[in-house]
Amino acid sequence: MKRQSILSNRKLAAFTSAIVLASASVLPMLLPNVAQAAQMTRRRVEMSSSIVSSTATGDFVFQLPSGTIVQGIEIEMVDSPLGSYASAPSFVPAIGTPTATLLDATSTSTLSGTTGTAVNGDTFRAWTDTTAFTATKTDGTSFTGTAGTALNQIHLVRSSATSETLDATTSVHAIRVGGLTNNATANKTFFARVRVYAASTVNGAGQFNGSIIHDGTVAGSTAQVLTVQARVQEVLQFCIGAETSAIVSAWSGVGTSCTNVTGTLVDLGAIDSSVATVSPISSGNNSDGIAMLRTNAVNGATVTYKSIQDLTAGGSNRGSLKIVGQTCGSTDISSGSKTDRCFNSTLAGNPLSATSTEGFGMRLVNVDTASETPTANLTASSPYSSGTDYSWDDTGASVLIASSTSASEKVVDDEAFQLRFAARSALTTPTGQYSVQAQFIAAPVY
Amino acid sequence: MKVEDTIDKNDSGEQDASTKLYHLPKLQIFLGIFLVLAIFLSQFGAPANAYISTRSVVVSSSLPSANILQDFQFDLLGNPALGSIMFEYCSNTPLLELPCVPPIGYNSSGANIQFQSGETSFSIHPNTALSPNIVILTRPPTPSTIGTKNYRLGNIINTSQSKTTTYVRIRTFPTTNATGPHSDFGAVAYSTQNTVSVAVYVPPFLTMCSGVTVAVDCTSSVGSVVDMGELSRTDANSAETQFSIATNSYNGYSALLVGSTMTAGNKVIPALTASSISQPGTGQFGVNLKKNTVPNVGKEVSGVGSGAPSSGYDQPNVFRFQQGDTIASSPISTEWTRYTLSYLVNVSPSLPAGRYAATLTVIATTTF
Repeated sequence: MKRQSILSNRKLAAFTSAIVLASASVLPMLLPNVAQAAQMTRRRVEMSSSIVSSTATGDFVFQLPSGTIVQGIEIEMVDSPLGSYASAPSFVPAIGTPTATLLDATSTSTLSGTTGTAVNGDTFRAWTDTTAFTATKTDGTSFTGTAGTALNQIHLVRSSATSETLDATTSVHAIRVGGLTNNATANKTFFARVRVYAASTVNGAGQFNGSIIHDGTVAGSTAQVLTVQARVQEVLQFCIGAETSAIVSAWSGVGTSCTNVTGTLVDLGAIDSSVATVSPISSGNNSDGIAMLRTNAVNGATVTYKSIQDLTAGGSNRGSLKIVGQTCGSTDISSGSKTDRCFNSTLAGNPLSATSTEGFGMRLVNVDTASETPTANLTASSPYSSGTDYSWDDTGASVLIASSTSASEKVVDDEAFQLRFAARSALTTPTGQYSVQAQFIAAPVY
Repeated sequence: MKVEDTIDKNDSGEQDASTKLYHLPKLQIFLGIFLVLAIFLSQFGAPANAYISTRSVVVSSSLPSANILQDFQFDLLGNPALGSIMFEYCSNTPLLELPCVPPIGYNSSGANIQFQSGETSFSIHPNTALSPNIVILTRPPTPSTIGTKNYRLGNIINTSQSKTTTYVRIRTFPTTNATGPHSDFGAVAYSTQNTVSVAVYVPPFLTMCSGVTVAVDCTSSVGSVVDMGELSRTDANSAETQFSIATNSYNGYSALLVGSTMTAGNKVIPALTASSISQPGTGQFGVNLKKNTVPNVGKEVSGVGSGAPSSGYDQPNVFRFQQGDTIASSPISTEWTRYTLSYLVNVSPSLPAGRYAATLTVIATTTF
């Protein structure tokens, strides 16, 4: 009896074991097919622009936590990182005709601007399978409303049998999605739910077949455009004077400024009829006239001069080189008197080299080479630009001698020029102390 | 219903213009009125607070404290109502955000308008007289036009400071007295400078040379003695020497003949103290500066100078000698003038024998 009892217990145990073993082997086949997707790390989206309503691309960057075949990627643009929704998201980028480009070490990062390196220093890993994805747009996976009203999802599909390598440290996979247009509202955050599938087929509900291998959510935003506004005030620094040749020569150095111009007299000393006397000359005060101009006038500037008229004298041509108070006749260099106490001159330039010439004039030399010049836009005007001829207008009219208006860039930064004066007396030019004054006017056009 | 359905056609099938408007749908009429009003209102409400473009000021003088003209030119880019234009002169900055420091000595309180174009009918606002550095042009507000404007302001006294920049803030206002928010703004600048003087000295000269012969320009001179040989009692005796003069004296020169008639000890050939022709057989000593035929001696003056023989010595065949006489002169500065001094000597039969000689000197003088 006892032996029968023991035998019964052994049978029961064996039966129980058989049931357990059978259950253990069959149960996996009976339970629902539920998989747990691994979350992608170091994930983000780098939009090419945050400006509202602008076209943009999005670089979707992520680390694959394990090696896997990637045949499908789903990117769902939503207003919230979690949950489903019944109406189209309001602030997500609009999807036009999407495109997809695999990024690798040769790709230029949208935000960093460097090759192969994202803005945070992560490096783009080359996709093991470089087969391109085909992009289409569809309703979001989490959309529960009427089909066709929330085309906020992009499917990237390709055929691949090669497993992508898992990412470690700063190595990332990246794919650039184009055909996006930012939302029209500034300062709005959107989210992109990114899902990676091993499958490449989509079922009738518009969802990838098979399980999500990896997923993760990234976020982007539109932003207001920051406008920086500044006003540059009008600048005009102009000086004219007379300085010794040593000072003028020093203007080729750094630090030149109008503070160096203090003189107002160019003395040619005693002159004679045998040759023209030209400034600077040691028998005079060894000085040249000199001028410097600085202006940010975008339309350029002009420099003119006017001979000061001797109001103590009668007649005309009262701005000639003359003895103060004397009335002048014609001062034409070819026909004017050589016996009055007024030097002749010409508007057309004369080298004052011919015998019996009586003449006085001015020309410009070293225009914008007589100073340290970031710009070289000022040029001498004819006939004062001549390398040999001297001109003078003694009528007091405004006469152009230099301008930057013809330069492609018309602003003038510390450009100087020298005023070279010359005089030659005739044998009959009456003795005496002759002088003339002129004012110089700079006129910028802003 | 199509619009065309409302348009009547006349007998010939053409549309009747008078009836087209009548049958226009109310919506179209409303839109038309709205469009007209919008265009009209835009004349007053076009962009304000814009920048005045392509602006400049050209002054008639850059001299400190000068009474100057100012020529303003600028472009208005919008067409808001325009009732006044303010010109504010500052020595420190053109920026409206910063206080304006009036230029020292500057005075525009008496400014006037000498020219205006583009936007016209402006006059000087009375408030201009209340400030030394603000000029206000005023007119009844009317819409401005886009384009270039020109204004010439006069009777403005420059700053007394040299080597300084004066900034002019230009603002337009819809009001007549430049109050309230401005419409447009821009600034220009000009600078004041001392004059540059050029001085030369022409040294004085009076150059003269003399000799038996001389070059016109005195580059050569030959001889100082004329030997007349044995004097004829029946014919005129003559000789000649030369001298040349130039000067840059504004007053010209005078050439004086200094010396005495020909003598031999106490024996004298009478000088012609009065002008006379040659009279052989009569004691005569005289000179002139002309080409003579009786006797045949002398030359006309040469050279490009303006000198000429003086009265008494300027007639052919007429001679004279008076100690200290001015024999030639120029009233102005002159280049070279070469004179030929002709000597006439006639002797009487009773003239004692002897070696007669005369030493003559020509002296040129001037006043510088």
